[in-house]
Amino acid sequence: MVNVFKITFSNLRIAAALSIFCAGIALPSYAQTDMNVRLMAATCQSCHGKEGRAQGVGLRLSGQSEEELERKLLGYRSGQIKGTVMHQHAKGYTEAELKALARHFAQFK
Amino acid sequence: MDRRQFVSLAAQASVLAVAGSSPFLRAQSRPNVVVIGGGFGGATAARYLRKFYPQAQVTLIEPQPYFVSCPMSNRLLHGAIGLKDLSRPYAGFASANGLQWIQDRVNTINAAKKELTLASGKRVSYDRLIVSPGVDFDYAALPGMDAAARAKMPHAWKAGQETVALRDRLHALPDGATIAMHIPKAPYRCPPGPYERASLIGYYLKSRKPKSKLLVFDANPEILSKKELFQKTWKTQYSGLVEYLPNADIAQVDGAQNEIEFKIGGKVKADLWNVIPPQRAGELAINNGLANVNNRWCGVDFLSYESTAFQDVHVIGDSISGSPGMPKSGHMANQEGKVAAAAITQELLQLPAVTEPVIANTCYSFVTKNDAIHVAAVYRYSAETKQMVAVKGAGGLSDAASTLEGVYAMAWLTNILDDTIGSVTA
Ligand SMILES: Cc1cc2nc3c(=O)[nH]c(=O)nc-3n(C[C@H](O)[C@H](O)[C@H](O)COP(=O)(O)OP(=O)(O)OC[C@H]3O[C@@H](n4cnc5c(N)ncnc54)[C@H](O)[C@@H]3O)c2cc1C
Repeated sequence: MVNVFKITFSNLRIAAALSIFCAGIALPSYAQTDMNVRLMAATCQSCHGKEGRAQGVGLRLSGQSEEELERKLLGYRSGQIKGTVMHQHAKGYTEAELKALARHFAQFK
Repeated sequence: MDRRQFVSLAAQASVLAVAGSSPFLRAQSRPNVVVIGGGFGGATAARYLRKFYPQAQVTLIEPQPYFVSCPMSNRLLHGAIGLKDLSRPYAGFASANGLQWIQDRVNTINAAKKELTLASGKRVSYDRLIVSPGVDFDYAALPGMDAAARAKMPHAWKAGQETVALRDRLHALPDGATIAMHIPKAPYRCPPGPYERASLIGYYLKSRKPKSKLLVFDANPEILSKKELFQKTWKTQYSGLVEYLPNADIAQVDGAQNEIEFKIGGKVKADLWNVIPPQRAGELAINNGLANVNNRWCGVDFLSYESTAFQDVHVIGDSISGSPGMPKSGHMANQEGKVAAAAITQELLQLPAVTEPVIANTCYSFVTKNDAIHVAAVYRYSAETKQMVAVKGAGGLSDAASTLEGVYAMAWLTNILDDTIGSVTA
């Protein structure tokens, strides 16, 4: 199957084509950033549910603003906020990653 | 259409616009991804492939009519939960996610021809294959463990009728009975699982049969997970009821006598034996050359979970040879399924690969009816060692067992089942 898709241009050119195609909404490296964030967000969904709509007290990420989510995630990371387990997870991610996740989950109202 | 779908369509549209040549006529036909095994790894991979790459045609091959969760199945033993709470039908899952489900077992994988042969004789071809067959039991390592002995000494390590059988026999025992458990050498699926089971049998005995005793024979030199937390519970809650003995490797099983002899010497007779056998990759992986690490586990590239034995074949879940410290858990299998789905999507769409996947694990264990403990870790791909490495300073254990964590443990189950297989129950 790979061969079918082995087309002669590089990923870079796809990204360039993409950014033209999606002018106005995408940065040049959007395609890559997109899957990086989508995959990382997907790994959060095991506990936090599709689009952050988890069941159970305190687990829902949807319906919160980017600022609110960022404050909490960075608070868990720095140890300012202590949970049962979330402070242990947050320390596994960079600040930039947590900010991207906050932005991602803030989309879901 | 949301932005994600738009970008995904745009990616393909722009590829089409640039390519426009004959190979692309073939590329337009939907890539055909086949997933073998609909457990925690396979179901998640199938579902997320459809999310990441809606144009892909995804087929799931799974012989069982129901997904049954091993996580929390130990709670069945003292009656907190029933098998139905842990079961989800594959029929509903397939239709809700646009998957084709073939209810059959795969016998052979022909990686050169990219073709599978099923138990029914049917042949299925694939462009990409994901294999998640779970674990298999290595009965050859237990002398005397013949069919009759197996029937008498249930493992209940694949949740289902065996779990129910173990519960029913436990409940049928008179007070004053001796129950015994055997834990195999690591690696096995769910490192804290046997100790959770010991705790919950302890709970059952304490509340219902306080003159009885549980003997725990561990082939390992010590408790392998959450050691101090389990020890503390046994001491404070189940003193005189649960006794733990390490370094207890089995020499001989005598099913007729309900007796097991240990390599360190000594024979133990019990009214009920729960023998968890030594484990290795699923039989399908072993029989088809995927288990290339000590002939027991499957080597993979942690960026994509592509097999180190065959191209375009990915292995996830319990069957893989994990990096040091990576547990064989449902949570990990779920996470690995997502990484594999993303890697396949990016490669088929000729988009840049994710170069530093990060995955996480939380394993809850109940230690009493309502109280639970956890262990958590975050693993990040190291380009240098090509391994998944636990992030230093992240992860950790519970401070103590608590009812709050028991509530979170059940919320974890609800949410991970929703994420893996959906919420449609039987
Ligand atoms: C008692 C117990 C408690 C546990 N508790 C937890 C917990 O709290 N948290 C946690 O994260 N994990 C827990 N686990 C571990 C978890 O169940 C496993 O790690 C997880 O199921 C692994 O997923 P998998 O996809 O590799 O395999 P499985 O979930 O076992 O799925 C394998 C699937 O493949 C199918 N299959 C096999 N061979 C073939 C074939 N030839 N053709 C087609 N299909 C095939 C099987 O029918 C099965 O459905 C527990 C396990 C046990 C036993």
